[in-house]
Order: sequence, then structure tokens, then C-alpha cells
Amino acid sequence: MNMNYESHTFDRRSFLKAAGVVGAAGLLAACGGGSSSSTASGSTASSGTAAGTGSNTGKPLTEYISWESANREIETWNILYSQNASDFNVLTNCVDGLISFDCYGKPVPAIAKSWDRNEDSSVWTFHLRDDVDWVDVNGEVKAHVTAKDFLVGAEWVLNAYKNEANNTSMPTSTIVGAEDYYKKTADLGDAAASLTYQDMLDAGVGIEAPDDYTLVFTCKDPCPYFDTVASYVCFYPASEELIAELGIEGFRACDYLNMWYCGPYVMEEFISGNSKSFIPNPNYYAASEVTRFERMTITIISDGTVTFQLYQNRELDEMDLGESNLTTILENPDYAEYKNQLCEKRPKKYSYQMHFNYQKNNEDGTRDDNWNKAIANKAFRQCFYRGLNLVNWYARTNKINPLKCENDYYTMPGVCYNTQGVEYTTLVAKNMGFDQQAYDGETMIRLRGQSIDDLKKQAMEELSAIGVTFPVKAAYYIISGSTTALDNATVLKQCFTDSFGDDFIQLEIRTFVSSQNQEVRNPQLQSFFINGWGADFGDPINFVCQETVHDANAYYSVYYSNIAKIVDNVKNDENWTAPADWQAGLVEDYEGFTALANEAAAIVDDIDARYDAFAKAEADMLEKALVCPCYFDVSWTLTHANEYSKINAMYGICNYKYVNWETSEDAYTTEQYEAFAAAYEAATKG
Amino acid sequence: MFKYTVKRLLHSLVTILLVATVVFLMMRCLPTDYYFTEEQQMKFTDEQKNAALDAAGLLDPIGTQLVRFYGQILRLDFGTSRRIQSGVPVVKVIGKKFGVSMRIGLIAVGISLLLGVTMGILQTAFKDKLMDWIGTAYTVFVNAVPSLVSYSLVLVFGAKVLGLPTLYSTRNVTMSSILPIACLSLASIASYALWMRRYMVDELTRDYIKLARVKGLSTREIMIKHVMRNAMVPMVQYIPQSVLLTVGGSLLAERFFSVPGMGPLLTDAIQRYDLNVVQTLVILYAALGILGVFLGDVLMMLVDPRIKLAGKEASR
Repeated sequence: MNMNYESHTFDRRSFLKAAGVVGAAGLLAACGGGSSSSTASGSTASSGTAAGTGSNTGKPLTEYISWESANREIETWNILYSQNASDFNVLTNCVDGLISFDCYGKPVPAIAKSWDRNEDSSVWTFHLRDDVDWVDVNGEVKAHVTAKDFLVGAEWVLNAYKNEANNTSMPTSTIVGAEDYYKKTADLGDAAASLTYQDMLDAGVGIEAPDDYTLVFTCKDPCPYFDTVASYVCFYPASEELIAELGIEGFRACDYLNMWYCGPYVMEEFISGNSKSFIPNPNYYAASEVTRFERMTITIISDGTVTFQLYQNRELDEMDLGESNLTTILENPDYAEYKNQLCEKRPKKYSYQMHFNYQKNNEDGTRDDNWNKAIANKAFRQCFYRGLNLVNWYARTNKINPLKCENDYYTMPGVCYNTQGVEYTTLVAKNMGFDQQAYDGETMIRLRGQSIDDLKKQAMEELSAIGVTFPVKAAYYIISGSTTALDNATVLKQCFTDSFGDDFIQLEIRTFVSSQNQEVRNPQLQSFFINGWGADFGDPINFVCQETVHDANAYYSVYYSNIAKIVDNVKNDENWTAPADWQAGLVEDYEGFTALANEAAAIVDDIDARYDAFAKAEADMLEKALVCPCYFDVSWTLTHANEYSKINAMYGICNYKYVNWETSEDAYTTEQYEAFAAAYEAATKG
Repeated sequence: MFKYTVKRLLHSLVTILLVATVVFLMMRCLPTDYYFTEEQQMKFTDEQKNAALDAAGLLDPIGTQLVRFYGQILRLDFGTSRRIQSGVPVVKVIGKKFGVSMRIGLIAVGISLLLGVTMGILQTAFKDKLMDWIGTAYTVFVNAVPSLVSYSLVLVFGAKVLGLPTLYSTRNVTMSSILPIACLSLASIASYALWMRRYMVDELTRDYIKLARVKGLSTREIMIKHVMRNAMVPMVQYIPQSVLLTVGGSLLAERFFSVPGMGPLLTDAIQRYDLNVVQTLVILYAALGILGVFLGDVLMMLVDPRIKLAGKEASR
């Protein structure tokens, strides 16, 4: 079995070597890239562009070896079928979509060279390149990519039989007629197998191809952020010829050998659980516009303890540093050479929040009104936001610069930029009055220059008057048997004690056995959960409107805070009662915030006004402490690649596309990375 | 012998079926949350989750699922993988990894047998001398130190002193297999040496050895013709099982060196709720284990003609 792999690899390597080497070597000479355009028109960028934020004297690498943990091995090679980031990290290198991103996370052209919209943003027209080809694993051209391929891809996704209901939520919620077509295919069962894209068009789905290189989407409602929605895999192309060749089951379960490619790389080799290597697609349409590696290898590392040894051997060109390796490098003189090579990464794309539960139950099923009354009180909630010092807890994630993990907002920074290039959370900061504050490595921004003594006193007085007893117990659930979770929770508990004393709020650590949802969330036992949300598309509505009331799709309101169950009888419960008197203020706060969010969502013709309005709504939510922002995941690395040159979108699937990477034979240093970070921050603050 | 074999095979089939049933039921006891990834768990609506579970037949009554499962086993239809390699037949998923584990495992078993048995013989021949002490020290060290530590030592020594690659690579199979094979052999060598020495020392105290000495046989003849042969009888019982179970790979060594073998497959499949892969692997491992024990009995009988399986059966 293994010998087959070897011989196969050797044959194709020989075949592709000339094309790959010639293409990539020339392109790498341009490594470093240039600044990117943030708008659709006029940009020649493709698949993102490099930051150009710094340089290294070391020679750029033509081959690069990265790693992935074993539990993130690719599961399916069908990009339309997949719903996992671990698959997308591979497939984004094999198949391109309409749009890609640059290192700031701004959309840039890919197969669509430009795009525009009508006045109310309900009709979006994408103008496609005419030089995109499908190639097979050997890099041989199989077909030309046209607008029809996007229709075929959309039909595949919306056909319940073909794609088994995967990736349908975005098109069905945005495109005219998509939901009806999906339901029709679901009702048809096996008979839906014979439907084609023409059937989809005949059914009135709002996707058209007036010519080979124009694609028009008609949205159900005005959708000013539809270009970012269209960047997702549900709008990726598929070849009708390939589906015919492999059959429906065969296409659904295609692999790297029989799939077709139109992205920057083709697979050279894939050994499940061991490695995968990419070589340049010799017929890549944007070959002259991006830099690629001659070979990119991803090694599967099952045991994290060996990564440092592998990095030292140069069997890896980068590694993430956990607490133990970081301690070794910082404290062991034998590894002093690595001390000035510690590089701090950019935050991962999740914004972690403390989601309060406003309708908490005791374990016997009765309401825990001591907690419910307390958390309904605004002053009590504000103590979390204004008074909870989490520095020691952040140090569990980032030992060197814990405060880099501080998160003061709800929306993840980088999700969107206004027309002046100002990053959205900067607008929230202005509304919150934080815009003049900067990271100082000593104090959390939102805790500066204030004491919560007055808030605490006010909360205790108001709550004592309605019968709340102190200290209020806050139930925090972790998975049983995890020492890491327990250590983290213990540090968090100490943060509560240090911040609030023992007479006000006390954290109680409790455990669940296997399912947080079934054991804790559904019976509503938690006082709060700490949860991270990653964007699905580039608009603040995707974050802010998860918390509004009177909306069944507001995920956190319905499933986490349970405020939806207090405000509306969402489950048609016979025992539902109107909010209690002590909840009136909370409901009023939510109604006020929801009104602001809905006002913002209604602005579809002016992006700047829309973002300003959302920033106001978000600031309102945070001022009322309806949710308490928690942290960003910021870790450390040893690396030969400049993280800041990589695509860094907060949504979509493009972040692991191996194009335009700035690399160096010499490892990057802490100093260089600090310069990259400063340049990046300056560029995103507008 | 024939009757015994048929009876053992029937017992084996029932055992495998019982094991498969227990695993099937245990997997169904897990919360269905595991069917979804963390991201899906968060962003799927309850309706979407139920549709996915329904399509997979996981919302059917447990009895219906079990009958369907038995039907699949009878048809030797092990289904397709859902998560490990989505849509790919389980047999193909396992087949790809089978060869890698077996090749590395067989070499490791071969080396272990050769070195372990030799070491045991030498320890016996030089009992209470330097050779014996070295062998005992090695055995104690390997058994006392956790595998992860001894693997780390092998890795550092192999990488820094010998310059060997520390990750398995299909571009350099021979060199990159050395460290995983070395690690796999470490414990087995110690085990074979320990038991070989023990059985040989036992044999040396027997009366027939004294008789052989009285009859004038040389120590060399006694060791080779009598002691070694008799000491091998209990040893050979475990050889078929060791060989067959190489198919299962080694969870720790394969993970440590990123060998794309069978070792981590079962735990990965359980973690990812890939039911078809879990069930097939359990059936496979149970079958191999049972077959290994059976072949061990047969081999023992062949090595020592005094042992009669049918006779043993008849005496029960």
C-alpha cells in the first residue's frame, strides 16, 4: 500500500517539477508583496496580498513545513460538502471562490475580478475572470471555469439529496427562492438526484448567469454585506463534467486524486494521519500575481511534546508554544538562542464573552432567584465589566503579555472596516470612551481610573431590598476530569475573590460529565458561560444581533442568556409568565439595545452610517453589561514565517491559503514581530 | 482436532458478536452532541441537528438500529466513514493504514524475538554474571520507565546523535521507520528476554537435566537440545497473537512519530463519533485476538507433541 503511494508520488513529482519550480521560483522573488486594495474594483490582487509590514535579512524559503494536530486531519475533500475548518485549511489551497482576503481581512478579488451592487444592495453582480481553468491532480487542464460552474455549485449545495443539507443556511437565508428550492429537494428525496442547475433557475432561485463571466445574485432583503457572504464555500464553483464523471456519491466523497482544482496549489501527496504536501498549480490563473512555495508540507503532529525537538531539527519551520515550552525557553539557559525568537501571534478569530444566564435554575429544577435577581440588576452586572480583573487568568493563555488577551468589545476586531479603512471596533471604542487608551501591559483598559466600590454598594443595597442574600453564588461549569480546565477555573475563581472580595460574588466551580449542552445549558444551570463566537461574514450584524430579543435566530439570547424566554414565550410554554418586577429594568435595557441594533440593521445604503449605528448599539449593550467581554486567544510561536503577511480574515475559509507568505531562512525575532504588530495596528486604526 | 476447531470457531463468532453489540450499545449511550463538531454544535439549529441525526438513522429506536447493524455485519457491509475520511468505505480507510502498521510491527516483532530470545539465552547461560546483570538492568529500566519517557530518550538520541529523522515520512520510509521500530522493540525485547530467561532457568532445575548431565551430554547440547526447546513451548503460544496484533499498530509509538498506521485510528474514531469505523475496528481487533489465541494453541501443540488439543477438550 505504501509503496503505491511512493511510486505515485515520484511519477507526478517528476511530471510537475518543471512547471512548479519554474513558476514558484520566479514568484518567490517577489516575496514581500505590496499593499492591498480594500475595494473590489481596480485591484489586481488575488487570493490576498502580503502585508509588506516588515522584512528579514534571511533568504526566503522555497519549501515550507508546517504542522497540524492529529485531531484536525482533513475529513472530506469536497469543499461544498465540508463544514469543518480543518478541511477548509487544506481545500482553500485547492479551490478558489469568488473572493479572497488580504492580510487585514479585507475582501480582495479572486475568481471574481470585480463586483458591484444595486442601490439598495439587494442585487449583486460579480464579474468573473476569463482565464480560470479546472485542472486535475497532475495539473492538466480539464475544463474552463465559467459562471455556470457557480450555478452548478449552488444547485449542489441547495439540493438536499446531493449535499445532505450541508452549508445551506447562508444561501437559504439570503437568496431569493433558495429556501423553497431546498425544501423542494428535501421533499423529493432520491428523485432530487436528477435535478440540474437549470431546474434550480426554473424554480426561481435568485442566481443568474447572463453570460459566461457574469454572475448575479438577488437577495431576499437588502444585504449590504453580501460580498462577504459570497466568499463562503456555499457559493464556490463545481464542475458539471466532474459530477457527471464521478456520479453523485463519487463527487460527494471525492478525494485529492480525482477532484479538480482551480486554486493556487494541487496536492502532491496525502498520507492520512501523517502528512500532506502541496505543489503549485501550473495553470493557476493568478500565478503572476501571488507568491507560492515550491512545496508546502503539512505534517500531522499527534504528540505536542515532540514539536520543539522537530523545530530544532528543522523538520518544522514553525511551532506553537505551549506553557511548558515557553517556560523552558525563558528559564533554561540551554535554549537561550530561542529567547529572542519568541514571536507573539495575532489573536485567533474568536471573540470570547461571558454570557450571563438570566433565567438560571437550581439542579432540582426550581428557579435560582437569588442569582436571577442579582444578574437582572444593572449595577451588579456592571461590576463584572468594570471591576473584574482578569490579568492572572489571561496569563494562563499568554504567559508573557497577559493583557494582550484583553477583550473589551463584543465584535471581533477585523470583521469589517468602514470606507475610510477604520476597523469597526475602533468605532465601538469611541462610543465607549476607550479610543484614547492603549495597551500598557499593566492594567486592563476598561478598569483604568475607576473603582467599583460605588457600583458594588449600589448593587448590594438595591438587591438586599428585594431579598437577595450575599455573597451571590455564581455557578461556573467545567468538564470533569480535565486538570487544565480545573486550573483555569481555579485561577478565575481567585480573580473573582481578588476583584470582589468574599462578601459580594463567589465563583462556584461545578462539573459536567460529557455534554455541556445536555447537562448544563439545556437545564439552564449555569450562571454564565464563557464562549467564543467567530464571524460567518463581514458585518457586525453577525455578532450584535445574536444578543437581541424578539428574534428566534438570535443564538445567544435564545440558548445562552435565556433572555428570549423571559421577554417572549418563545417555546409556547403554558407556564410562561410575564417578566417579574425585578426584571423590568433588564427587559428595558434589552429592548433599548435591540431597538438600536434593529435601527442599525435597517441602514443598507450607507456603510459608514450602518457601522456607526451598530457601534452605538454594541456600546449600549456593553455599557449595560448585558454581556461581559472576556478574552482573545493570543499565543506564542517560533517561526520562519511572518504571520502578518498571511491572509487574516475573521470569516471565510482563506486564512490558511499559502500565498504571499513572507518567510525567512533565519527565524523571525521578537523585535521584528513587535514591529509587524505596530505597523499592523497603525494600518487598521485608520 | 477438527471438532475442537469448529467448536472454538463458533465460540469465537459468538464472542465477537457480543463484543460488537456491547460496543454498539455503548456508542449509542454517548450524547449525540459528539456527532457534531464544536462549530456545528454552536451554529446548527435544533432542526438542523435533528435532520442530520435522522438521516444517519440515529433517532431510530435502539432495537431497530441493532437489527440493522446485525444485518450489515452478516452482509459484511461495514459502511462508510463519516468523519475520518468522509464517504470513503471503512474497509478502504482501514486498508490504507493496515499495511503501514503491519510492516513496522512485523519488523519490530522480528527484531524483538531475535534480540529478546538471544538475550534471554545469554542471560541464562551467564546467570549471575555481568551479561545477566546487564540484561536484568535493561529489563527493569524498560519496564520501570514510562513509555513516553523512553520514547523521548530514543527520539533525542536518534535525532541528535545519529541524525535520524524523527517523523515518519513516505519520502524516506527506511530511515524514518528506524526510530518507531526501535521504540516498538524496546519493551518487547525486554519481555521476551525476561520470559526466556525465566523458562530456561526453570528448565535447568528439572530432573531430566540432571539425568542428561549424568549421561555425559555437554552443557551446550543440554542448552540447545533440551532447555531451549522446552523453554520455547510456553513462548510460542504468544507469537501468533503478537504477530496478528501488529495490524492494530501502536497508539503511542505511531502518534509519537506520526506514523500513518492503525494505532490512533480507534481513539480518533471514538472522539469523532465515527460509528462505522469504531464498530469495524472493534470487530477486527476482537477477531484478531481470538484468532491469535487459537493459533497460539495450535503452534504450541506442534512444538510440543505431548499437548493434544482434542484430548484437552475431552478431559474437560
